[in-house]
Amino acid sequence: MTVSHPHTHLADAVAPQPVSFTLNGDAKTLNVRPFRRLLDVLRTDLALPGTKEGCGEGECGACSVLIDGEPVNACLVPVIQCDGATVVTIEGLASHAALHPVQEAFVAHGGAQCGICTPGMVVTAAWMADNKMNAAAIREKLSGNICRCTGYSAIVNSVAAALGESE
Amino acid sequence: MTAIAHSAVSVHRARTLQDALDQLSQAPLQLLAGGTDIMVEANHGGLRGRHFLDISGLGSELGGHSWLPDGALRIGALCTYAQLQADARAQAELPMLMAASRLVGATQIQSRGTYAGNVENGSPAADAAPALLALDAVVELRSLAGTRTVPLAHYYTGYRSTARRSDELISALIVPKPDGGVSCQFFRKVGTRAFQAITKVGLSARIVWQGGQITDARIVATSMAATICRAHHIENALRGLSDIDAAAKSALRRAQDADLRPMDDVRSSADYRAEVFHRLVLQAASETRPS
Repeated sequence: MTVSHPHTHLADAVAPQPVSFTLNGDAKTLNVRPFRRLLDVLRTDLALPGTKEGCGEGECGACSVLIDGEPVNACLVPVIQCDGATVVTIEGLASHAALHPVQEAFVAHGGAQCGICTPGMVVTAAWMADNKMNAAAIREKLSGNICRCTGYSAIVNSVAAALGESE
Repeated sequence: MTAIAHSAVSVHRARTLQDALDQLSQAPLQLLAGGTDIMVEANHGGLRGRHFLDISGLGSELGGHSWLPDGALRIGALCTYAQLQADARAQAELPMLMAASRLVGATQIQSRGTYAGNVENGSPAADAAPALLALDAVVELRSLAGTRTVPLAHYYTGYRSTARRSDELISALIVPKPDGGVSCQFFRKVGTRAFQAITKVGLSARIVWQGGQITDARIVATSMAATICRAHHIENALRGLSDIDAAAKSALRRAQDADLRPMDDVRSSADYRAEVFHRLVLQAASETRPS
C-alpha cells in the first residue's frame, strides 16, 4: 500500500510538462508535474539531497536555494516557475578546487551542529557574501533561516568571518 | 494514493499578458505569481480542484516599478518586496511602505512575494496592503474589456474577497505622492517577533500636523476586522486635535470602539488587540507631531 504524503495532492494532479533551467551551471530539461515543489524535484529526481526540508511552509529556510541569484524557499516554488531560471543549490556553491568562503568560515568557526539548517544558512550567507553585504545585516538577512541547535552565535560568527568582519 | 482526476486541476503558464487575459476571459482561474501564499495552502493539501494561471513569467509586461511624472509610484503586478526595497527613492519617500516590506516574512519570502499578491490575497493580517491603504493606493485592473482602477479603500468586499472580477488581473498598484511628506508616516506591526511573524495587531497611519494641530489622518487597522480597514471614526476624532490630553484619549478610544470590534483567535485576544491598537494610535499621533 502506498502512503499518501500530504504534500503530494496538488503536485501529483497535473500531467507532466517539460521544464528547462540551469542548475548549478548545467542545463537541465525535465519532464515533470508542474506543481511539484522544486524542493522535491531537487532531492528526488535530481539526487541533490543537500537542500533540506524543515517546515514545508516557508518559515524555516532549510530549503533555501538561489533562483536567479536571490534566496528563496524551494518548498514554495512549483517547479514550473523554474522554467528559464538559474538555480543554485548548496551543492553548487563550492568549486572543484575550493569551498565557498562561507563554507570555509562555517568549518573554521563551528557554524554547523546537527546540519539540517546548515545548507540553507550557507546559501543565504553566500548570497550576502557574494553581494558584499554588511555584517550588521546578518541577523536580519538570516531571520528566515531557523536553527534549533546552536543558538545562532556560532552561525553569526561564521557568517561575519566570511564577510570579513566581526559582527 | 488517492486518485485525483487530472481534469480537476490544471496549470497554464502565461507567455504574454494577452495570453493571460485571454485565459481569464474563458474561465475563472486561480492566479499564481510569487506563490508564497498559494504554495503554503497547496502544500497543506488545499487548492485541489482549481485551475491555475501562472503569471510569474510576465516580468517584461507586469514586473518592476516606475515613478510617474506627478511623483506617484507605479508598482507592477510582479514587483517583489526585495525589488522595491532596493530603490533609494522608495526608501526616502515611502518609509511606511518600506517598513512594512521589510517585515514580510523574511529574506526568502521578500525575494518571491509581490505587492499585488499581498493585496489580492486579502489577508486581514497583511503587511504591505495596510501601508498601501494608508497611502491611498489605487488598484489597476486589466481584462480584455480594458483597464479600470479601484481605490484600495473600496477593494475589499469581505473576508478575503475583493472587487476583482474573475476575468481581471491586477496589473499595477498606484501610490500617489503622499501629502505631508515622510514625517507623517507611521507603521507598526505587533507580532511574536520581528521577522517570520504574522501580525497580532498593526497600525499603518498618516497623520498630518499643520500649525500645531492635526489636519488630516489615515488610520488603517491590521488584524482588527475581517479585512484590513480604515478607521474613519478615529480619523475624524484626530482631525483638529492639538493636544492628545485625557479627553482626547477617551474620545479616540470611543471612536475606536465604533470602528473596530476585534476578535479572539489563535494569535491574540480581542482585549489585547483593542488595548494595543489604542496605544498604537496614541504613539502614532505623538511620533508624527513635529518637534
